Amino acid sequence: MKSFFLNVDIFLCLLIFCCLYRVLKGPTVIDRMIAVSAIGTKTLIILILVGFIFGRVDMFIDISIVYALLNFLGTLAAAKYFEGKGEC
Amino acid sequence: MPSLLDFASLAANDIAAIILIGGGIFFFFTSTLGLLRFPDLYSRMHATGKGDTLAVLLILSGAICHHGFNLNSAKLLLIAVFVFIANPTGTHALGRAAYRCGIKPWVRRKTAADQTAEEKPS
Repeated sequence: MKSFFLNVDIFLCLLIFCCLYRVLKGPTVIDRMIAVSAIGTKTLIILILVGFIFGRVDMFIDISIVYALLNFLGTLAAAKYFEGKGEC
Repeated sequence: MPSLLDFASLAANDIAAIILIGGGIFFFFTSTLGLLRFPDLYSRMHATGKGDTLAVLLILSGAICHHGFNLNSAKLLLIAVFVFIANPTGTHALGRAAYRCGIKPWVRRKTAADQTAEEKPS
């Protein structure tokens, strides 16, 4: 089961590198924000599966909760900023 | 005999976890494909906003199936509920910001058949 979790982690890392293409080449700033938000969601899952691999799920779940909160707040703050600025 | 039963229940546990996590991985892959290949900001947002949410729900359900029911699985359920509320909210806020910034949605290019249909309405 640990090797299965490890393979899932490696595949998610490959998907994160695919999302980085959109972060680098996005035509608008909102495109980059969407890609960063998707990367944050994938990182949340990677943290939980790394906790299963290391056998310390109780610690890694707390880190993952904090990561989800920070991702959500960052997305909302950037959306409010660009909405008030009026251009992007 | 009880050890055999325990082993059978553990295997069913892990098989359910593998199926759920495999489904989540599939939805992550499709949402990343949509993020890379769709032509417009709004359609990319449509792909990631729904695909990532469903993938997180499936993978966390698989983790709960693997881990069993205790305090840690309650925390996993908390993450799942939070992502289920927060991820569409963030996507909606970004979409509203893009719309107020004046980014036009992508439309299909007009072909010759469309123009003749517009000129001569049946």
